[in-house]
Amino acid sequence: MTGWRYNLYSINYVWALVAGFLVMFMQAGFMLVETGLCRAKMRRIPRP
Amino acid sequence: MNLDDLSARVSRVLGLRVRHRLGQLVERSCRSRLVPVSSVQAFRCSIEGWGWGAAVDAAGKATGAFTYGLIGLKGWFLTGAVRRYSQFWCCSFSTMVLYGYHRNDSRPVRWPNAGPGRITACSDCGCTALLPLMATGFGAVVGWRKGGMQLGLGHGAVDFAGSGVVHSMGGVIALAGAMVLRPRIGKFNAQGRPNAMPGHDVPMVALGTFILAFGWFGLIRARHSRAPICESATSL
Repeated sequence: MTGWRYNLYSINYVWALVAGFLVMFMQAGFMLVETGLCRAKMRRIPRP
Repeated sequence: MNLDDLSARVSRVLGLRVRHRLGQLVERSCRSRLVPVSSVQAFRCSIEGWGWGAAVDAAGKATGAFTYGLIGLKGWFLTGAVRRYSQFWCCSFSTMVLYGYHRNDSRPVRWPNAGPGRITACSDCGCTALLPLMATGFGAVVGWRKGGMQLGLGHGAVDFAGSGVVHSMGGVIALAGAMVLRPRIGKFNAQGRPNAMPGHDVPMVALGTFILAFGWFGLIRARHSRAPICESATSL
């Protein structure tokens, strides 16, 4: 596999990887949403 | 039939089965007295909805009086026409409404059970025959469905990457879970009014929402590309 075929392969690979990283990063986003929506009553950390 | 079609069919049959069990669960855990809707009835309703939905939805290609997408002549039970969203739409819709409208006593339960009682036979016919027709017919007329009349309202619905199955199943399961679990303790006061339960950190929620929205670009763009890429990105 040489030339433009190789480039196409690489581009596709990077595309899938970047998309996968974005999906993984959604875990962090969901964690922030859920923790932010918890009630203050449910916090284990005492208020300062 | 290629592998793609085969997997679509298998997953739809499994979805029907799950919905059927879910209906049983909801029926048993509901507090109101029930007219005994047999599970056989409900399952038959699902199956009929499935067959109807496929046939009705294949109408986009039919001619003559069927041009407007109200009923089709082919596509029964997924033959010929596959990957149409109204199949699962009809199944879930008819099953839920069958369960909802068969209540003889709509005392303390809410939405899906609050239908008028004492129309059991009528509602049975309606659920098994009319509702799939209504769902797909209206969908065709108002433009949900691809290939329908559409009246200039959009391009119709396309079942993109199985998202219809995902969201209908998620919605039905969430509804069943909410009905089984009842409202959380402290949500309603003695007068039946809801108590506010605000989150404690709104900026964090906003930040997380933005991260989710940005991550969706990855999801959607991966789904738009070729199938192997789609699968690998999703499993990544």
